[in-house]
Amino acid sequence: MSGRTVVACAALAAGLMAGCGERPAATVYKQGEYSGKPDTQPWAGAPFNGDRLAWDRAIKSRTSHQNEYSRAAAK
Amino acid sequence: MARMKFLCDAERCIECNGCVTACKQEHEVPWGVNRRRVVTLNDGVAGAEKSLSVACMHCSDAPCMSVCPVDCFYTTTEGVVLHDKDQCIGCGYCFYACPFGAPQFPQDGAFGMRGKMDKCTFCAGGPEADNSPEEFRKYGRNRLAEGKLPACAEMCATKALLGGDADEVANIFRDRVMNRDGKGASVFGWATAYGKQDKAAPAAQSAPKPGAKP
Repeated sequence: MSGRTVVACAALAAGLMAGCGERPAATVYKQGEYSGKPDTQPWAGAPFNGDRLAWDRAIKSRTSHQNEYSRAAAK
Repeated sequence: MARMKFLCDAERCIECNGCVTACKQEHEVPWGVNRRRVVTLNDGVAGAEKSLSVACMHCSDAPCMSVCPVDCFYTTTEGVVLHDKDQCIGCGYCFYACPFGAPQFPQDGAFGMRGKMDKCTFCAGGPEADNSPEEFRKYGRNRLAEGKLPACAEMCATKALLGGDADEVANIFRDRVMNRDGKGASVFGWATAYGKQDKAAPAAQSAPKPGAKP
């Protein structure tokens, strides 16, 4: 058997077997528990890089900026 | 720790739909899906018309979360109710449970097929990597991770729609009501929330008289 035939047979076998890689399709649910992917904290990534206090300050500043009375007083 | 909430001031909302447009633009929300909308009560009645901007209220005890058969909802540490679209089966139970009609379902598939649920995320994205293209495609922009508030609240021209830490939002609203002409304390406080104005006794009157039996 020539090398080319062996390679062709191996490729054919690999092709035929590709459909056999069955993954479990049924999801196991735990009653009353979140079943999705875990989420990260909003301050975990850039630009805060884990600095929760900086994130808190940014949000507080933005929130208080919605108050025209304090903005007018600050001027 | 912040507890994120929205508050819409009906005295200020002018039904401009700026919040709706801001949300649509920020998250590239498809046609037929309205994460936020403006509801008008007494439409056309002179002097009695009131408008409110409504979206997911990120309930502390969210009914959508309670009824979801696949438990795809979760609450972040900031009190934002989010869901995993990879787990959602688009059954629509959350839509029946929600008192605000917040859950939306895209119907762009074949035969009017109902897609996976979509709703306001408080601009906090979802359980994908923050500000990744995958997160944007499924949930929209994650402004909270950028240290910003929801686009609808920040865009509101009259500041009728407030968003952010509930304590801070309540302080802003209290300031505002106290400064309103001709109203003030009469429309904000215990009596307004829990009793009629005429029945509410002022603190001085309700205090026990000297010598009176307890």
